[in-house]
Amino acid sequence: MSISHHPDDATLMSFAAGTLSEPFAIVIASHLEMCGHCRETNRSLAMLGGAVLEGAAPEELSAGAVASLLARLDEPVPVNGHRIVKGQLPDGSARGHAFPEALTRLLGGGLDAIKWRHVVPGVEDRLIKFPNRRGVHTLRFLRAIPGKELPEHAHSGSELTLVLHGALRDGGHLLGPGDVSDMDDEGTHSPVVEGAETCVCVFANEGASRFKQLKFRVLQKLIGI
Amino acid sequence: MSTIGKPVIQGTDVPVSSESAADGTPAMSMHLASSVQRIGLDTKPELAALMARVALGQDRDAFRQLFVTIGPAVKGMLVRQGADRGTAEELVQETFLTVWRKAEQFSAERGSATTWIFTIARNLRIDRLRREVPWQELGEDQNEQASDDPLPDEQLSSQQIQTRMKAVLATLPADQTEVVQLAYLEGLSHGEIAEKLKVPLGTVKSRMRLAYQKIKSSFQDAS
Ligand SMILES: [Zn+2]
Repeated sequence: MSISHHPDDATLMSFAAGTLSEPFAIVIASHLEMCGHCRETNRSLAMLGGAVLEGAAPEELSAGAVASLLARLDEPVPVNGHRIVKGQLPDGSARGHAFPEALTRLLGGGLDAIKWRHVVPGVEDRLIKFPNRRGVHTLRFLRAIPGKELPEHAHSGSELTLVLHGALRDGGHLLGPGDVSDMDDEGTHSPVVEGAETCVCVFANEGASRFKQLKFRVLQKLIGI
Repeated sequence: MSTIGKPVIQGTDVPVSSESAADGTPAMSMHLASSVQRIGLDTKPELAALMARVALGQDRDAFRQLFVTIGPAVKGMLVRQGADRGTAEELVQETFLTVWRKAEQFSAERGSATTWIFTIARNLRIDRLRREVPWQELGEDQNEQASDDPLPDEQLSSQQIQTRMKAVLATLPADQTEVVQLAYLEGLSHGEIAEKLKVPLGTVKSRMRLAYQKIKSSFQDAS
């Protein structure tokens, strides 16, 4: 079973251009680690950035720019104290994918580094807020047992979902590890955990207030439509 | 790194770039869309050759030429993205310091100098914006390293890819060029572009998709 649901090309273009907000960029970076198809697309789109840069209207460098740059070449390179911990997905490890480094950097570890918060029986989450100049965007990890329906909500902005473990049925789509659902600002949906495994996924959202509107259904839903 | 997933350019062995496919190939004359001002790269020293000298030999003179050649475009981009001149100047310096320090990671077989420089400048800008609002550090930027993915055996040279990319860019319809420019040069999000152009969000996205489709098919046709 290979990755079959990819981000919108327009989302990938914004990633390459560097205009996605942090949570969205983290989800895309994670998907890229798992998806050769999108890595290819991303390479093209980065290349497009190089081409666009070559056509950019130049702005004259300041008089001392060359000298001051050359004078700095021998400065000691700042040491980056960041430590990369290679996380692992739990058993049945997602098509052999390692836990994405983009998420490892954020969490300081793998899935076991997440401090889960109880939501309702069978559902836990972890919310990370990212204030930016456009407001507050969020990244939310969610862990739910099989058959559990995730929060139904109407979108007030874009939402990007990445499945890390297990499987999720979202509308007509079955999402497995590495798969992405790239939702526009329209519509309502309520994904359901499918199969026998616990599902772990991560959602990037525009706007934090929307979480207050979430209603968790404790009912288990019949699978398959 | 998993090999799951097929390359997007199916049915062709053209590597449509790598994160940093080699070089700027200034020898070719290309005509960018009319909304893009040309900087006459075709008359400037070969960026690829300069970058190679920096990467392989830590050649300071080549580095200086590289800076003088493409630095003004980087600064121009940063200014368009809203940086004041002081900040832009500072970020250009940081960009080229990073180029110097990480030069050994640059691989001419895999990427273009301008793509690599674009990516470094982009990441520095993102870091800078991130610092405007308090939250945690993300650590090492992830997208500056050349991809480890194997490239197809038969391939266009990175110079040809770069040339073609610019040619495709020049042939995009104006509305597609516009969204590409606004994203890459001005650093605007989908929503900001939609606001600026007074078009629905979906329109912005579909123009971007079409632009990418055109790039993709042009590389397919070429094989
Ligand atoms: Zn993908």
